[in-house]
Amino acid sequence: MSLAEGVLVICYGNPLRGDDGAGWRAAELLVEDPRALRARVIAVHQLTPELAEDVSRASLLVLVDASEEPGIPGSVSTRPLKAEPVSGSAFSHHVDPARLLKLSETLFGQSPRGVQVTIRALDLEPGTALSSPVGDAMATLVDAVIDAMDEHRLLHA
Amino acid sequence: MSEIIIDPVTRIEGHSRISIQLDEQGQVVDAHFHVTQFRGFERISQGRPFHEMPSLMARICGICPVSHLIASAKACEEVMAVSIPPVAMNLRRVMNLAQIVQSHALSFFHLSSPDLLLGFDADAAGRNFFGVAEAAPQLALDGVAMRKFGQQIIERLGGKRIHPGWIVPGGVSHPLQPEQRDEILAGVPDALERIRRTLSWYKANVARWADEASVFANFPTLYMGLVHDNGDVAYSDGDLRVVDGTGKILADRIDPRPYWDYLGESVEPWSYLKSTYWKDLGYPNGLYRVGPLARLNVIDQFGTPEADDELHQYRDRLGRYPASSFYFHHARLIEILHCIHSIQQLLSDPGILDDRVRSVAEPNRSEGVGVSEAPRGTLLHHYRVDENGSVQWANLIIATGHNNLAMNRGVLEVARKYVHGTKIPEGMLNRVEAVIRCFDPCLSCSTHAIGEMPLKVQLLSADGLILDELAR
Repeated sequence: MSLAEGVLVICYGNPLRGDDGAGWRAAELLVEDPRALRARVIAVHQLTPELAEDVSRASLLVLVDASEEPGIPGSVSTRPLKAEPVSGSAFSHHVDPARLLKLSETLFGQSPRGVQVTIRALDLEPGTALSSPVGDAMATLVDAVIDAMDEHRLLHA
Repeated sequence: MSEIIIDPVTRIEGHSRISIQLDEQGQVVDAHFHVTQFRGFERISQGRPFHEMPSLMARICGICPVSHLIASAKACEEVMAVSIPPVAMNLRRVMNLAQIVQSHALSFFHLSSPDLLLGFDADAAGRNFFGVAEAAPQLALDGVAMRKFGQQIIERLGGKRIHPGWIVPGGVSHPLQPEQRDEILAGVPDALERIRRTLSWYKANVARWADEASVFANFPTLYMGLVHDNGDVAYSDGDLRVVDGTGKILADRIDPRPYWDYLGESVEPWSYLKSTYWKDLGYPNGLYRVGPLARLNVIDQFGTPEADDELHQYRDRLGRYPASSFYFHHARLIEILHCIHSIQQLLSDPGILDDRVRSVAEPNRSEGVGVSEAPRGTLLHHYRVDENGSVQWANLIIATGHNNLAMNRGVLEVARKYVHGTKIPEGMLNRVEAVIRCFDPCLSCSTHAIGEMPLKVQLLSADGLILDELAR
């Protein structure tokens, strides 16, 4: 399978800020997971415009991140992403998921289907350890990424 | 007395605030560029083993960690009293040049090209990199590719793009492999094509920005940078040269390590960013600039033919010692061109694959200073250690600190041109920010905040009433 037909998983966050490192931990687990063999998995601190080319070459983009949204710590949710208009941000060092998709579309003529998988964080203070509820839920987080891949394969079977 | 506050300044590395003081007639009497965050790495480093310093100091900045790695490793090598293997020096040079490429690309394409392409008075909501991608996709593509080119070199050499651990006291941790070299060299033609296209675009459009160029910190100062013995630009080594706005050389090829002999450091109560000044001229008259504009003013030549041709064109157009900080932009592009050629030259030497890449020693001195050229200018790390090599004291002078006095004066001059009366013209806000952006200040290096705030500007009367207010 070529990359153009493949799945790109971008796990992001700061591994030195407690549960914000959940994405990086998920990346470590995914590269060892035989269910994700055909996916390209990368871990980054934040989403940047330089990722747009890689994104444009994928058929499915899965973004994995920790979330500060209210909810039960360790709970995992999946939501679809849509490329959004470019206005409204004066900051260019990093981009949000919707704008990353839009940038891929604008610069490279195409953007993949996008899914964001998030895990509710409990502790974002400096440190390399995940909190107990987030650490205990890592398998669920990885399963959610695999589910998104499976759904994509079914849609394109 | 009235006051205008711009808080925060956007599209720079970090967060800051600008205040502009008006008199009763609404005329600008003073302006300050406030750096409102504090980090304190000099204090954090106390008690740490000296050999940890490069990796610790690299955490100062996610944009230019390589600069801190190099300056810090050099300071450690002073403490160790060792010379590093020549191939290690060349490998560090490659990484430093790659960092300059990616950092300059970030500054020019991501942060400044929205103003240049879309206009300084374009709607702020769309005046960003995404707006550039819509209006001029090729320019944005070139920016993305140029930054990626530099970052991938850093990643290939150091294992990761941000905070690579490859540069260590004594050299580098492991030698270059042929496949790494070949991968980097394979990207050179594309990178050259992109920077040539960008330079052509810039030169074709520069007349559009004549008004901004005339007022963006357009005053003579001293200029400082590292040069080789033959006058070529130096980034990872070399000695200091300081010239004034007429080209008079105040210091030439002086050892940069005893910097305290000629640089003073001053602190103002309104900013966490210290200001340095040329001691002979005192504070604040001894203001000087570092970084791309200053480097082009102090060097005789780059040492790579195509960049030297661009340098001649630049000097033909602007004179030998351009004073406007607007030309930082042009200087950055020429430096990118030179850096790509230099990377190609260094990697084309078969000796670059030598495997003797590190000198090993215990501490043999109690003090060390390391100096290099970061993308934004000269960077100094100075450490004192005890008999066990534990850091007792550290001092850092960052490019943004060298430029602080000039940035403040630049803000004042722009404010004087655009601010009259009790209303805040949007064009003034844009240009005050843009003049700061020319310097590409890195506030994370000099102190970096977390988070984003809306731009808020207030015009206050002498008795504290809000006369006018703008928010983004």
